[in-house]
Amino acid sequence: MSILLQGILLGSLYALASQGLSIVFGVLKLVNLAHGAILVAGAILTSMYLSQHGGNSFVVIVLISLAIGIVAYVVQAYLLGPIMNRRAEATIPATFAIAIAIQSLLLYSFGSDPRVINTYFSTSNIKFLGQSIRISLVVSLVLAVLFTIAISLLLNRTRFGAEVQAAAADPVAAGLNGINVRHTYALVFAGAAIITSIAGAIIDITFAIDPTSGLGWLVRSFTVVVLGGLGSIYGTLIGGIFLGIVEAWGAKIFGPQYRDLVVFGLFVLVLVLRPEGLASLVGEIKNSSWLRKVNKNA
Amino acid sequence: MKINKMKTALTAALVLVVPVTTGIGQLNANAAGGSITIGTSLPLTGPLSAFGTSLRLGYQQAIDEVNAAGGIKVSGASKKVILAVQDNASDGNKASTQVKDLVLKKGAVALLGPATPPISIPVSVAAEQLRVPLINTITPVRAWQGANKAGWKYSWDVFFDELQMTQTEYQASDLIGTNKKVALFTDQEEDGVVMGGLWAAQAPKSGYTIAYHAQFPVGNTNFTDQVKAAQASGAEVVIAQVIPPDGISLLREMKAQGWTPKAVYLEKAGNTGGYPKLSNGLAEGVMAANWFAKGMGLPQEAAFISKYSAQLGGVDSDLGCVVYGYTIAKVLLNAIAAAGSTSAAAVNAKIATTKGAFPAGNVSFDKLHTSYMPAVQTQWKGTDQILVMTPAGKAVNPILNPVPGLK
Repeated sequence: MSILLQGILLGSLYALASQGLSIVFGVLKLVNLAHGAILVAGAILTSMYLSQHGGNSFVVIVLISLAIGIVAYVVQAYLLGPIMNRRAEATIPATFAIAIAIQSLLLYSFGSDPRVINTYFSTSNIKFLGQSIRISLVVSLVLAVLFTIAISLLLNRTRFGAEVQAAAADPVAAGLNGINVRHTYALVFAGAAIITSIAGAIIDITFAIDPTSGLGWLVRSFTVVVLGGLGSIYGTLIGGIFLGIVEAWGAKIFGPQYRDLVVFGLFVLVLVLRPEGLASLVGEIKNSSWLRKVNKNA
Repeated sequence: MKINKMKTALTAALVLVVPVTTGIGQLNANAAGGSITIGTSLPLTGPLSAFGTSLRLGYQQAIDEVNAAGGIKVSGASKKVILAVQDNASDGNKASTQVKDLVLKKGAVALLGPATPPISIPVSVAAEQLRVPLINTITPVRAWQGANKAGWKYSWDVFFDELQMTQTEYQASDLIGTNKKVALFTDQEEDGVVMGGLWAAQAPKSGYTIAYHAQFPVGNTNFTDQVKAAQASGAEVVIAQVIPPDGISLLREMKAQGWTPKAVYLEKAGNTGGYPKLSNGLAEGVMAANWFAKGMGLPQEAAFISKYSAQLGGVDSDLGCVVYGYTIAKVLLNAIAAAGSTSAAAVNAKIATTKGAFPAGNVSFDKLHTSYMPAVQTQWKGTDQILVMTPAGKAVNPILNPVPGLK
């Protein structure tokens, strides 16, 4: 029970950290290698602001994330957008260059030391089903679920969501129908950056982050997105939680030293056996003949 | 079209000509006898930047002092010394390329090392290929010696011995009295594996039991189960070899689970300047093996503390890097002066005969090109790492326990 609970909680943090990457890939078809750097920037900028100026942690997290979102909007609209229009594959080195630039800027400005964000629940636990669990991980679970539902509603129940889906499906046709594709893409990129920045702050409340931590979180986020199904919002939540559980079980059975072997072994296995991701299993199970039979009999 | 062609030609010409002329210029300056260039590739950015920045201060101070005294006499003429610095961004491969550049293009006659085995070893290999003397520090000696079974010829190392260092945690724990049960947390970096093995081997000899040993990949964030298991093992002593962010994650998990061991040693992570502040107070009272602290009775100890403690934010390992950087630079400059020549063989021979007291302690090299310096134990109190135990295992200042930051 303890392992399952720990896996779900840690997995929700992975899901939260991966949502921005998933949205950008799903809508813009962009492999954003700057994802980890954006996450780290959100964490470190928030930590530095709070340590130098103080203030309410949650207000600062939101304000810093919004500021990062504004920068991300500009970057997508005026840098990545034009590159995507000319040559889509060139966006991969472009986002890699952005990642290096962000990391260098953080190192230059704040040094290489690890940073933490301190809140009243950074090192607090609560009891749940007889298990002691970190409050910050419960917060990450709540946020991961809320963001998943909110993104899904935004994409499926609003006019903006319809425009995003149209732009994602066929940007040329969407443009001909009066949708400002550049603006839509930039808004999506900005929204993803805001969520990623918030995720970075939650990670920094729970653990610690230094300017070079981005690569590790990028790799983990990619694993989650592949496990869940590329670009699937619910899949990202499922993939994250699944990864958390596998990691917790793997550490329990084989020892924590084999954590990466278990995680990336699973990653390769899913890529080979089920490249569309694990979330698609849900649909398949729903449509399976035996389930229809069970429903019919019921 | 024509303009584009001209632009391309001009750019190509600049790319080809500038480095060549710059290189020749510097080689000429050295050849003409105007100065002596000492090269160093330092981690000025990246995760090891604190080491690189502090070493540079020490190197520069030693060189400034020599220049202020008129320089070094080589072949009868006094020459000023120049420190040529390149930033390897904490990357061993880059450092290796840079030292070749420093010697072959910038005319460096000798080298001063970077820090830590992952960078010092590739730089040492390059120095051997170039046949140029190199002195390393902040590089534990056994890891460095083990990287070249045939033995180093032009490379030297001035630092502590891992075996002696891994005894200090048990000796310091003896001073406070514990149940002698230890929880080890070691990452899977090269030094984590080596040190984990040494602590495990040393424990029974010191009368301790390893009650729990967690090994994990670098970048481990979630220590929930490991801390739970360590606490359940009844350990009162925690010894960890982790990178700084992982150290904070470990402390946060211990605090969250309400576990306050009598002694926590965070090696590597705990040598980060200002660690208690970075960890929001959790590292207050955490101990770490060290190579410099106030009260060791080293030559010029007070002078270095007064000159650098405000700039570096306290008396800690970073200040120790300045002292060790200064020391190896002095050893090298003394060797050049004694040789009266910049010939690699002559300087190398003089380094081998070094024997004397320096700010880091007594330096004299053995056949393995190593000068063993003693490790001590220090405890974080505010901005300083306070000396709590001498290399002989004697108490100096009282050890605060259980760890105040985790209470």
